[in-house]
Amino acid sequence: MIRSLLKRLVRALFLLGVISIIAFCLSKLVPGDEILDYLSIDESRYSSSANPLQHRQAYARVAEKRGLNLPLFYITIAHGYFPDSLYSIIPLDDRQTIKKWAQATRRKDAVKQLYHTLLSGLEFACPRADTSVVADQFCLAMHETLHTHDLFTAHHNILRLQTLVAANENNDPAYANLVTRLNTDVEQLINTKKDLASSEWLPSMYWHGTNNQYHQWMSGFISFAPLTSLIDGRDAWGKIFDALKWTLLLNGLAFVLAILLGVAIGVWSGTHDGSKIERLINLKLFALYALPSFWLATLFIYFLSSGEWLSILPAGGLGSYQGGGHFLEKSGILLKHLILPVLCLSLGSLAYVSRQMKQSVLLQLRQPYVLSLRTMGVSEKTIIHKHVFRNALFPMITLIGGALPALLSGSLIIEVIFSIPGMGRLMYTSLMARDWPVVFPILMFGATITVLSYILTDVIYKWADPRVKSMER
Amino acid sequence: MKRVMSMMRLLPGWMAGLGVRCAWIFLLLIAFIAVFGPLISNEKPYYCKLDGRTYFPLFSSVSESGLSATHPAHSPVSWRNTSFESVWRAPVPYSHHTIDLSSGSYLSPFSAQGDQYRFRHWLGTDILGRDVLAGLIRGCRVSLLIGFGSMLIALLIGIPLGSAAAWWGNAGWRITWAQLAIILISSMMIFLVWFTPLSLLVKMLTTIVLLVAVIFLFKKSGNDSRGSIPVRVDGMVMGWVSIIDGFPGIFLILILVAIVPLKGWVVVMLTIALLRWPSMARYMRAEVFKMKETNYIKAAQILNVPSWQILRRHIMPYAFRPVLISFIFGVSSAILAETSLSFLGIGLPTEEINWGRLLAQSRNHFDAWWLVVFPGLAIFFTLLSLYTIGNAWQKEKVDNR
Repeated sequence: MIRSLLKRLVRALFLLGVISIIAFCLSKLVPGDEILDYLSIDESRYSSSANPLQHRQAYARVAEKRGLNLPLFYITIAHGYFPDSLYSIIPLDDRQTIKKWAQATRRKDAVKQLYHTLLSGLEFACPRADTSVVADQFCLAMHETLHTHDLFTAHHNILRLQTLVAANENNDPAYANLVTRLNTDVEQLINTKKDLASSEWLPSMYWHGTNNQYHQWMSGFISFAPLTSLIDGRDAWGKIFDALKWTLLLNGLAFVLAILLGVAIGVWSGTHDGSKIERLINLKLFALYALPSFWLATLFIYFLSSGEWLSILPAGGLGSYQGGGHFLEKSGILLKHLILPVLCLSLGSLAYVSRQMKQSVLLQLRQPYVLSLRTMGVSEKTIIHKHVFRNALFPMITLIGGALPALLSGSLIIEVIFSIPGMGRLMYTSLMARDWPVVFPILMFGATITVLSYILTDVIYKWADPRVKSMER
Repeated sequence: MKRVMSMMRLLPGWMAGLGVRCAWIFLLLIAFIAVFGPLISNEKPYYCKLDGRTYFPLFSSVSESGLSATHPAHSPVSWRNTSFESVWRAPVPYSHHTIDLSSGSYLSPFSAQGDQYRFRHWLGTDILGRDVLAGLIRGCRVSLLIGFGSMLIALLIGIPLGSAAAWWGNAGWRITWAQLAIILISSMMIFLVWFTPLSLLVKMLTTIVLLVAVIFLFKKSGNDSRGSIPVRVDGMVMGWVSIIDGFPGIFLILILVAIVPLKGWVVVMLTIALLRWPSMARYMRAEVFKMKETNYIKAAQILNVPSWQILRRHIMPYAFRPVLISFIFGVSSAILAETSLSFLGIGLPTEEINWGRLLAQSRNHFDAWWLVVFPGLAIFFTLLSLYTIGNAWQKEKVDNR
């Protein structure tokens, strides 16, 4: 027992690891530069700086500070014809440009040389950009060329720069020097063909050890390092627990309501199967099951709170209970705001639960032990309450176990309609803003709950019904 | 008519009762509207005659501006206002994107809408003056396509994986060291080929050749349990199932919409399929587990019938009906997911109009009850029909047991 539990826990940890890797990769694949988002927070005065060099330096500082200049994962696999240490080049736009150049020409040394010349040009010209026209143009051209994926356009840029430098003769000769170097670099890249060396055919692999973004992120995550939200600078864990509070309240109420009512209706309709009222109720419940909760919510708001027909319940929010007032008064206001969302959430699942319960009761009633109890003269009431009811509850364990993750992750659509600041909405808004420090904890939290709930369901099931053998061997 | 009705008997569950028949008729109607939607609601007429020349705008690429150029006297030609010599229009003379400027936004179905009976908005208009009925007709297409498409993909992934997981379990399939080496080496090669400077065609060809070679090698070896290393098929499949379950759906859908360079509805369909295949696989796994213990399967095993043939010939036909039940429930939940996403404005492009989008518009304008009621009813009845059919099948299955 203990051994199999341990085995399953280890497996759960492994699965969580895989989930974290997939989530990390997916987040890195999303188009857009994360560092630029951080730049506008950490060094906001450089976020749209006119001077490319200052912008780049600020960018590098931010990347260093946030650990985003590190390679992504423990190993990097790259095309053999890509320059070495490509993974360490920032900004990411430069990396993209170099990749494109290398793909077009397949000559890593020449690409690297051109890149370094461009960088030295940038470093030389940009600090003087305010004082002279040539420096200004030069700096801009360097910056532009670094973002030009097409080498011929880049060549064209440099030729134009050459005429500009030649026109202003009273300049520092260093400019002319740089331009010539650039020109030779580009022309060498464009014109001379070179066959790939045999080593460049094979992909190159680099091992980074623990000094990578994933490892840093994961180790910080496991040690509960403070995370700050990108949107408002608040502590991510605090934000999550605030949202979790509301989601638990809302979904918990709905869940309890659905389970209690559903089980009651299920047992009743199981024992009264086939009667007229039972059929009528079940027909209603069946229709309820097909009712989309968001339509129900919209209908409720339209008929009960918009004032078109009635205006007896609030249309959304949680009420301004923060102010003074007695505890009862405050919870009264809160409850009034929760009635509609709880109804919307519970009605659909009520139908489902009662259906499952009815099936289960009917199955139990057909078992031989019921017959034997009846022949023993045990009253029908005792049979139902003491024997059938207990046995019929077993499928509920699976149902509750399966619903546990949904209970904590919240239902986005109801939270959006009734504007309740729960987990679903937090996840949605954070994802839309690419607020990874908030998204990842929610994701990993939800995944942990999901994986653990499977184990828990199995364990409880085995404990409740020792006949059940685990399907896994 | 009688023949059509007798043809309908082929539909599973048709004889079960009135409710199921109504459900089937409603679903077939929706499917018909989905297929022939552009013929039912279109701003272009089927046929029109202008200055003695006939056009079939709906079936050709004749546009308003094109007609204006060929008939300057009538310029500017508009499908609605130009007085054609004779014209046949679609039953609903609006496309889902037609903006009816003359009647304006948020027009109630009961309000006065000008004298032209033919151009009445039977179900009102939305914020831009687009016809709600045309939007509903358009919505059938998107909903059914995403609902059935995503579940078909989920079925195609879930059935093989689920039955393999149940059939071989964690110890049923044993491979030899040589086979393990082949798998490792060939997968390594397939991976590395994509990092060489070969052309895309060569890369693809190499991958396919390697895959075919591996499959061929394994098929030739025949027996599943010759080797010494057990392949944990069940563990791997259920691992992937747990991983997919561990992701919140909204995370996957938002990220995939941003990453995958395909059309919005395709990404939504694929994502729903990705999220739904685990439940199909689980269902199939449970079915095959039950069936594995039956005597006729054991007999087939003793007769040394190859595993994949037992799965295909002896298990699949019997597991098909139960799986169909979960398929139909899956379709309804996929449609629900699609409309929820459209309601939130995720996935599909913003100009696309469908049931969820129409419903979402009512939130900006609470007077517009027609934007709440009609799309909601469309969703509700579609889901109800699917549930009714699924329920009837399930009852049949329980009764047959």
